[in-house]
Amino acid sequence: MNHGRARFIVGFLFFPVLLYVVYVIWPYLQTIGYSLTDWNGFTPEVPYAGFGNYADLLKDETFLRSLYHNAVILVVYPIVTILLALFFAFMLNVGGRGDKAGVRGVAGSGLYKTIFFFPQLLSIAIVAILWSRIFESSTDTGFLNALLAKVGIVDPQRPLLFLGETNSWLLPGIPFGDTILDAPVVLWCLIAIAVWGGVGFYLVLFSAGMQSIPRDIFEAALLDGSTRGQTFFRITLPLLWEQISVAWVYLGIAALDFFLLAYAIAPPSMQATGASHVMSSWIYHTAFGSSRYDKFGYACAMAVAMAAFTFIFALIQLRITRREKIEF
Amino acid sequence: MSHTSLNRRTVLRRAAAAGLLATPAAGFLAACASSDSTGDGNGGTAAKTKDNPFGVDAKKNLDAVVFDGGFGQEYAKGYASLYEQKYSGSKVGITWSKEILTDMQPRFTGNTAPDVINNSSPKTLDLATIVDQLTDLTELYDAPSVDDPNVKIRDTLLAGTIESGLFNDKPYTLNAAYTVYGFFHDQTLFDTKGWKVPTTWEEFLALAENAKKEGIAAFTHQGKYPWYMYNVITDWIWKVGGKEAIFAIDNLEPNAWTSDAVKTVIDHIHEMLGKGYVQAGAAALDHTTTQQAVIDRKALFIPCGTWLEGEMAKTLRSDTKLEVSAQWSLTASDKSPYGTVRAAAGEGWIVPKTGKNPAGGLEFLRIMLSKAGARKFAELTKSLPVVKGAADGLTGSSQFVSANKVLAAAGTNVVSVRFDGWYKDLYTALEGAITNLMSGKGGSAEFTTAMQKAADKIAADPNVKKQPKRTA
Repeated sequence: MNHGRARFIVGFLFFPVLLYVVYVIWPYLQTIGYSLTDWNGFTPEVPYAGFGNYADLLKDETFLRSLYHNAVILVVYPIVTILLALFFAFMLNVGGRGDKAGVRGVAGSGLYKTIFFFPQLLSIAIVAILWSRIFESSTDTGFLNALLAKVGIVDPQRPLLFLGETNSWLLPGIPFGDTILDAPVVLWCLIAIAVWGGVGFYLVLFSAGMQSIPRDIFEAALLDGSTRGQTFFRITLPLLWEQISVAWVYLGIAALDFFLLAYAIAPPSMQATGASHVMSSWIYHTAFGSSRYDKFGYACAMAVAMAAFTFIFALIQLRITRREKIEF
Repeated sequence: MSHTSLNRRTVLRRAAAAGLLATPAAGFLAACASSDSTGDGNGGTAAKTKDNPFGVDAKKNLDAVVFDGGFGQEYAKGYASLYEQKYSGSKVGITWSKEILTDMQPRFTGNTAPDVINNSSPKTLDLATIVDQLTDLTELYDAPSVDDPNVKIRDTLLAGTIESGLFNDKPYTLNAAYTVYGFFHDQTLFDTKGWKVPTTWEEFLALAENAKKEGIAAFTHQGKYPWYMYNVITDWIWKVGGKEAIFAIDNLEPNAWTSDAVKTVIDHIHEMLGKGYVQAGAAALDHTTTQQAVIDRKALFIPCGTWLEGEMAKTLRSDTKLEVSAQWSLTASDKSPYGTVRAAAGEGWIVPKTGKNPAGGLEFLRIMLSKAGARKFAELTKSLPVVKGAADGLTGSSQFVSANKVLAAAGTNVVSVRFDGWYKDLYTALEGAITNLMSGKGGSAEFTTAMQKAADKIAADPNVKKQPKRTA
């Protein structure tokens, strides 16, 4: 009996685990191995180099600037996305007008859900084209610039550069060696795109969470004369804590990654100035576009450092948000 | 957008470990391949004759990888059909690539390299990393040409072609197209307005002021891709300071970037920007948008190379007459005369040793260098092939005719720059400095300081191998 069960489990797990080991675990281990070498990425020989690559990381100003950019994203992106998604999910599920009996979302909530979720369906290439048109630095063809020019905020001779703007916004730049720790406009544009793309997913996640909260709790609150705001803060938010905590970890990991946006949407000119670089895009740049003879090994060391940061972040986040689970 | 752990892993793998997946097997394969067991080196199996100098097996297929870019696909398909006509039992499979480096790296680490590669595109293979796996093309250049078996291929090529593909003094790259760089304009617009192409800075300023009155920007550039302005700036440095100014930069000499020549060039560009002669917002526009601005007659000049007409073919007006001209003089005391241009054999082709049909790879290039192949290339891409006389008498394209003229006028005053290939980090720093300059973040002081710092850093970096000093 026991023997049959083991075989059953092994039968199910063998191929997924094999795939996972070959395509995930093994490359991870290889990356760690290569981070200790002076490999250039092409030769069959892989010269061992010890921990020198890791020491170089601390001297790499662009890496540290990229790390700072990641930190800015880590603070802004999850908070904005979660707040928006929560707000929308609440309005779509619970926040309908209180003039009729029952708990429901605002009128047309089905349509809104579709609209908010839509960016999830687009590939990064389409997103890149779409947003480069929106942000284009021309008052003739750029959506935002044309709009702002109509209102008279933007001079057609000086369109806003958006994805081509290196000036720091909101946060003052802190000079750091030959570089600067800053939050360039191009980075904010990328964050805006990420929020636009992410809100729909978390809206669906939170909606599902809200729908699993028993209706009678909301109805009881309504009967007691609770306002929308009170319902949200006293009932919805505490009972959604688990979903929010999961979202926080997901978004944090996405913020530490951010590769597709920094690589595919930030133009090469911004990548050259370093204004749009995050760790992942700087790793890519180093691995394939650096003049170091040990570029691949060095990039692997960066990747290992990035993985360590992500791991630490996830641990901290899970610890902070740990709460008792409420069973309905 | 990446928000799930699955996407994240996908991305991480691409970012940090692209190509590594193939390496466990590559280790074993490499051990066999590097022992060089192929004997005669090209893997040919048929007898070598004058008509088939590399002994190509007519039954073997050919695996070619070609950059899918401004030249389009037709020209390479033309080579393939010429090859298939000659070796009727074979098929030439062309794989199109937008980024040769990204697509080819796993095939080099995995020892499954194709037979011939068009090493062009925004990301090319760095020869230093793969040179051991490439065929020395001396064999190709010494082979009889397709059109006349008594003439060697090397004697059918334009001067400088073979030299442009040397690495460690051996020819590994065949550069197949002669590209002329410079400022492009629409001659039809100039004719209707009665304007003349300027040859001096003063003439340019006068023209720019006239154009401004008509709402036309005198200059634009492909802001998202600072590479185009890199050409403009280094060409002007060569022109103002002579070739020694560029050699100093190539050789990472102290104060090479703070020379008067560099300052003069940057000051003039800064002036042009300050006076509003540059298309608004160009600093963050892409190449097609700004190139289209010239075709739409919203801008007069754009820096580019002689692939422009082919690249913009779909949106040209019926009366568009794109012409290329040399960059105008900046001062009366420029060290190199007006007419100095950048022209180079480019569009490199390489033949990996480790392909299944390297003899076929060489033969593919030999056919490409035939009169028929080269002429087809000229007709389809409006670019100059490196084969002597292959494009004579072609008049269909204004760009083509003007490029021929510019090249003849330049004589020996041809610009070439090395540091962009030698020291990629210095080149990246230049792209950054150009972006800052063109988006109004400072002038020559900021530019020269930033560049000198970057150059000094590389000169002192033990992780960067230095190239022998450039003297010519």
